[in-house]
Amino acid sequence: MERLIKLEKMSGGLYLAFSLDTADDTVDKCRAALDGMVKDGTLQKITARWLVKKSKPCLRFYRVVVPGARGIALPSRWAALNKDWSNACIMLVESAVPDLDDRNWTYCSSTLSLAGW
Amino acid sequence: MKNCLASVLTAWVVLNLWTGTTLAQKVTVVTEEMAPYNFVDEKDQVVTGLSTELVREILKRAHIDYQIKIFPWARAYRTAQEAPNVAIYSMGRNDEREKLFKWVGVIVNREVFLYKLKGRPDIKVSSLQDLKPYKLGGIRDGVRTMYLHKEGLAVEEATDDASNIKKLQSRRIDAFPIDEPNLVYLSQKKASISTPWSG
Repeated sequence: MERLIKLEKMSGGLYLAFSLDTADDTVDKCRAALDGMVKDGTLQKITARWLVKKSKPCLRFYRVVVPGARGIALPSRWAALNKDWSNACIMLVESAVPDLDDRNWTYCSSTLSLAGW
Repeated sequence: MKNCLASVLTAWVVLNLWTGTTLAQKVTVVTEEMAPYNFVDEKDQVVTGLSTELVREILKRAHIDYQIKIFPWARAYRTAQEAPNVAIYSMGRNDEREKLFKWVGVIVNREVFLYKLKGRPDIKVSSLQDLKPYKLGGIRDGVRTMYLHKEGLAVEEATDDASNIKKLQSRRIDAFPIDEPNLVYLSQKKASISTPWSG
């Protein structure tokens, strides 16, 4: 998949909200708690932990099992190869990530030659 | 005298329940499956995710008793409008929704893009108006769907973005809006399900 355009007006915040019949006191306590989390850095810490760990799997290495060359550790960008090569000779042990960038192909080709293919 | 006291006490309790100022009621928290923000961990079946962790911390600090439930978005959205004492999270904000809820604040920021299949060079757009000939995907009652509708674009609604990916691949839609962390999670999940030899 690849990006078409950014939806500027849709980008921005995801919110926490309450139904209208919820007591104002409950909502106010939550607002105060959220403010406190912003001020003491808790919100930023939790966000960083999830977005670094969970949303950038391109930086992680996946173990790829190849007949005759078992256990080679290669970047997850090899997932792009899955399209044309994998059925014959590549097995992804962990799951793929979207190949959002054409440069993946150059990278994969050079990695292939380094691996002696 | 005894009856009179009992009546006064009952009236006091009812009044306080009505105003919601004393006895804290358990809050039902609803959301949809939208990793990495909110999703059920397959190992222990617990609702987790970035937004979930933040909401749990907010409610803990506010000393509010709660239970979190995951529904399809349209049901979560309806529940938060119709049932009492309900919180909803990972929700976009727009003019239509402004007066439908009591807003706490932003918990997560994200960038939303329209995505198409890589093998569709025929789809070329530089503005929203260029999208008019194309069929877009959206989620029922979702803020992105509302926005695209408002812009006069054709949107085929689904229950979730996993369905939108399937529709995109079968070319039932030409593009759909999503943020990258969510797309990465869905792609990983799909790859682990559809690749029979994946570990």
